[in-house]
Amino acid sequence: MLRYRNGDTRAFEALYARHRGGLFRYVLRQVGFRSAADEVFQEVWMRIVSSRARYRVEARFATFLYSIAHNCVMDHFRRKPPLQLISFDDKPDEALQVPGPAGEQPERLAQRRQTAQQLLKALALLPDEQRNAFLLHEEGGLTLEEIATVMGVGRETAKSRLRYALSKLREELTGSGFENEADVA
Amino acid sequence: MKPTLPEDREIGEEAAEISRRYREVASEQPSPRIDAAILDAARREAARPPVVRNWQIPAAVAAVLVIGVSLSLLTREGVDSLPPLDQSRKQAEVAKPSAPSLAMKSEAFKNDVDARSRPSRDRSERGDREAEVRRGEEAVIGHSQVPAAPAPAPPPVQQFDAPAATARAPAANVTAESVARAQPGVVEALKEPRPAEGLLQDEQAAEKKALTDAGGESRAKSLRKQQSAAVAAPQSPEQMLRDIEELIRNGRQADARLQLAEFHKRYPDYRLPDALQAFEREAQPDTK
Repeated sequence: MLRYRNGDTRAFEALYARHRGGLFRYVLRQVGFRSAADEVFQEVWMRIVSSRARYRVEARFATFLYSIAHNCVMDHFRRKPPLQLISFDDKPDEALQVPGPAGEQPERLAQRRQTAQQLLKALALLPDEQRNAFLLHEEGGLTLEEIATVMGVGRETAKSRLRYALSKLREELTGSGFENEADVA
Repeated sequence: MKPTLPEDREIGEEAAEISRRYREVASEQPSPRIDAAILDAARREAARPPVVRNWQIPAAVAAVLVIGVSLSLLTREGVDSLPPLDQSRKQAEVAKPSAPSLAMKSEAFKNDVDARSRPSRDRSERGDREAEVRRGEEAVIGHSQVPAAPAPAPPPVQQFDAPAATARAPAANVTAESVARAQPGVVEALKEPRPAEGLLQDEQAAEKKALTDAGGESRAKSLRKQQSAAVAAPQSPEQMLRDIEELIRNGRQADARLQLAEFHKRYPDYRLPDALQAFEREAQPDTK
């Protein structure tokens, strides 16, 4: 980012390539719809670009990036409150693209899709704070300290939220043959 | 470099299986159209020279200027409005004697109450004595069958030429003058020459004198009290000094001395003006 501040566009392209997928999924899981996710995702990067001159190294770039993303998601919810939950049953093609190894048996692929659907459904049903903590950990690769910084809470609070999220996801998936499948895998 | 603390490692181990499952599922990517838009914007922004929009320095300079100018103006106004040193000392001196005003007020209130209640009592006493005088006169006139003497003057207050009265210097003189000031007709009547018509008249005059002496004295006493009540009323030292000077100008030296004595009682530390000091010095040998 410092190189980009000094005019190196290739540095920005490298940053973008590294974080685009994770950030997009973080936003998508938070806002629920691809159209809204596109809008928020673009807004996040525009803020990064426009803050080029003011950028100071105070933390990892990932922390800076996901802090802006968190704020943009909050702004989005202020403008458009989440009135409905994501329904993966209604739009399975848009929400769920589960890739599988080539030549995988259809039954196995179906089971994998079902488990993924269960996981994403459980993730969508998590409380906002717990989902946020989980996504920052999984998509952003942030540490507990960084999650706490992005969410504006204490380290223990962030840790507790993440643990609750993992626990609930595990519970949801236990009943859907998650462990058996894991054993097979 | 991502920091790895024991807690993070612990959480990572807890989340390992879920993470693996999640990564298998999570493969969404932004559309190429958005990628292109963002990268274009980034290139455009990089082509422009970075503009440091640092508002803090100008804002700080402006704040310092505003505060500095207003402070200097305030300071200048404060210096202009301060009174000179000697004036403030005089004000302090003037303000100092007025401190025990509470005690003086209570005293003045008491005197005021006395002054209000006593004249009526004095008046009633005086009326009784005048009636006695009249009765005595009638009895004497009726008993001696002597033609009535010319109508006597209205009830006299005091024999100012009496030695007893003059011996009571200077306060008594002041009292007499005060009486004269209060009721000039009475004094004039007293000063009128009286016809001396024999022993009877002399006796009558003597009796009357005795009676009127008593009446006049009580009246003078009441007037003295009124005067002292008036003097005791709360009054600023400047006002008192002005009154004293006016008394001196009007030739009422005795009143002035009395007032001056009262002033000294009230404001013992107050420095008199030169003129009054001179007057006081002149007056002292007289009183001695």
